[in-house]
Formats: sequence, structure tokens, C-alpha cells
Amino acid sequence: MNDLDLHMDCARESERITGFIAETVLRQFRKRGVVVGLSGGVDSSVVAALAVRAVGANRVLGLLMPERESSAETLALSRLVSEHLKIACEHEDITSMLEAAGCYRRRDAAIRRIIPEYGDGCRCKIVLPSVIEDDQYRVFRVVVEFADGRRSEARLDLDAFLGVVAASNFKQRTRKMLEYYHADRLNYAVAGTPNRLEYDQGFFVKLGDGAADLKPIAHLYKTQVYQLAEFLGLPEVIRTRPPTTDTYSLPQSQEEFYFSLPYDKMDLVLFGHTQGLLVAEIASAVDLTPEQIQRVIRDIEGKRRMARYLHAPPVLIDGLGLA
Amino acid sequence: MELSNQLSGAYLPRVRAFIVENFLFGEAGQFQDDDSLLDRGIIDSTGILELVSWIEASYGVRIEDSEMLPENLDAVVRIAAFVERKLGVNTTEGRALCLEQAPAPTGPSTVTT
Repeated sequence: MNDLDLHMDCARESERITGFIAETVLRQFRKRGVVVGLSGGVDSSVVAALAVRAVGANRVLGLLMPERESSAETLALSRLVSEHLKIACEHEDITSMLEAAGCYRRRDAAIRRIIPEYGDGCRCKIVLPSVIEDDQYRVFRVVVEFADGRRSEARLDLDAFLGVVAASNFKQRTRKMLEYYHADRLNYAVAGTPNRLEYDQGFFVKLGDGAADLKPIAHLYKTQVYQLAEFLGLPEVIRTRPPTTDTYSLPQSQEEFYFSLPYDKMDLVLFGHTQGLLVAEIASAVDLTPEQIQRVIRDIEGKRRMARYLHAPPVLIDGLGLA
Repeated sequence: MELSNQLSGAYLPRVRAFIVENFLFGEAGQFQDDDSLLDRGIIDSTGILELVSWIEASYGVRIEDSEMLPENLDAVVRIAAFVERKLGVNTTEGRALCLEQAPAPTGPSTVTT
């Protein structure tokens, strides 16, 4: 095995995680089951499958929570997973909640600061330029597609960027609110679905998808989550689906929104950097130049600094001895 | 740092005051004008946006994406030199401009396809 090999013993890892889920949910928290928000992606599908192995299909609830800007396949794929796992599921369309909170209205107003013609019938996303080509600072741009297919793109200023993100975060927080509603109703615990890339790099919304009672795959690289998906026998369409954010109305890959590289390369760079490998070794493994790897590592460290706030629990003046 | 030698010095105090006030909350401590803002963790990616917005609003210039580089924005001296270059402060026009009240910033550049 070379130093950058992320293959793992899936049977052993599956057993370890299911033991962790059972111990945490049933014995530590004394809850009767697990709620998992299903997105139709591989992470939530793997968590649901592991939860089934840990506590039984009759103690797992899958939540399907699309909204009007979700991709067309989100609901069908989420349903497919719940049927495949033979778990109960609830369909909660969150569009009306988001409308009531002003999610779309506030976000669209922020976009109109930059592209005044943006309005009904338009679709949008925010994107980052590549980090590997040069040392240019990466600043978000908004991409708008008008009803006639024309596209317009412009850099976001500070207020517009913060406004778009703050409004969009209603989506993750609304979903989490519903997960806890059902968890409270059933006396279940909520399982979070971040993988290691997302957890390490802060790719989550604080008190949104970042909130959970347990995070069973937060130690696994995305590549390893796909390995587990295959081991667990999840449907092929789930195992081969590329990661997506499914947050904006235009299709958006995770690379153009957050990560510097496709997940398989990002995994290796993060793993190599965390293990203290030489830049040249990592560069060779992912077929990039040492200069490009240096840029990715700078980006990783910058995101880790920002993630500290996202991970931080509420801060007290004094410890209260409640451990 | 070599860049400091190219400065007229016109912009450095205001740039430093902005960085100290907004990112160090008035506590400059050992902060030096040639310290890297990113390496010292003084600003992050949101901070870069804040800095760019401030430069554009304060000096009435438009900063292109291609100009958003560490050599232009990663230290007080670099920012001050960058502003000076943007305003062409070594020309008569530029000197006049920097003595006047800053004009309103130009709008965001939009690419439509």
C-alpha cells in the first residue's frame, strides 16, 4: 500500500460504524431510532444504510425535503433509497416555509444589487474560479440565466455575497428544523451526513446541515464513502451520481462552489497534507504540479481557519462542570 | 520590502488605519506594514471582499479579478502601492484625484453571453 491509498476494509469499517451508531443512539442518548435527511446523494444514502444495520429498518426515518429549486431527480432518488432500504419516509416540501421566511425574496434582492435585471423566470448560482491556475484570490461570482437562455455573470460585492449566503442558508436550517421535529416526535436522534472533506473544510451551514446528534461518516473521505456505498449494495444510480450542492436553481458542482479540485483529488491532497507528506509526493499522486498543490494547500488551510468558527460550540465564560 | 520604496506615501496611513480598525479592531500591537494579511490570519476570503469593496468605494476605482493578487493586496504597503498605481498618482491627474474627495465607485462589471 502506498502512502496515498484510501482503500479500506469496508466490512470492518461498516461494523465499526454500526457499532458506534447503536452505542450512541440507543445506549448513550437512549433514543429509539435515527432520523436521516435524504438528498439522493451518496453521503446521506450511506448514513441511512448504516443506520439500518445499526438499529434496524423499522427504527430509521428518511426525510425527503425538496424545495422548488431542487434538481428534478432529488425526490425520485431519495425515494429510491428509502424504498431500497425499506425504511419509513416522510415527504416534506419546504418551499412554503422558505417563502414564508423570505429565503428566495431576500436572496433575489441581494442578487439584484449586482444584476438588476434578475427576476422571475431567472435561475442562478454562485461560483468560485479555480484555485490551481494562479495565485489570484478566489472571490464569488453570481451566474444568472434569464428565461431566454442568456447568461450574465458578475463578481459579488461584500453585501451581496453575505446576503445571498445568509438567505440561502435558510434551506439547510429549515431542513434541520424538520429533522428535529420528527426526531422529537418519535424520540429519535438525528444523524448528520457530512464526509471528512466537508467536515474538515467547513462545507456546511452552522445550525443547518452542520447540526446533528451524531456524524457517523465525518471521518471518511468522499472516496471511502463511495467504497462503502458499493459494499452496502446501494443502487448504482446513487453510487455513480456526481456530488452536487443542490442549493441553487442552476446546477452547481461542489468544485465550482467550494472545493479546489474534484473530490477524488481533493481527498488525496487533504489526506496527504494531513499525514504530513511532501508536496512533491502529493503532486505526483494527483498529477498536478507542486506549485498547484501549494495553492490547494493554502486554500485548505484558509478554509480550516474559517471552519473553526463553524465547529465552535457556544462559548461560556466559565466551565460549568457538566461534562 | 522593496515595494515600500516605490510609494509616495500618500495612501499608506489611510490603508493602515482601515486594516487596523476593521480587522484588528484598533489593536495594532506588533503589526507591521509589510506583514502578510493572509499568513497572519488577519483577513480571510470574506475580508478580501471587504477590502476590495473599501478600496473601490474609497478611491472610486474598479478592481478587476485579474488584479486580486497577493502582490497587490496582501500587505498594507502592497495595498497602498496598488492604490497609487490604480490612480496613476505619479501623474498630474492622479495627484489631483487623490487630493479631492473620492468619486463614487464604478458599478460591478457584468459579462453577458
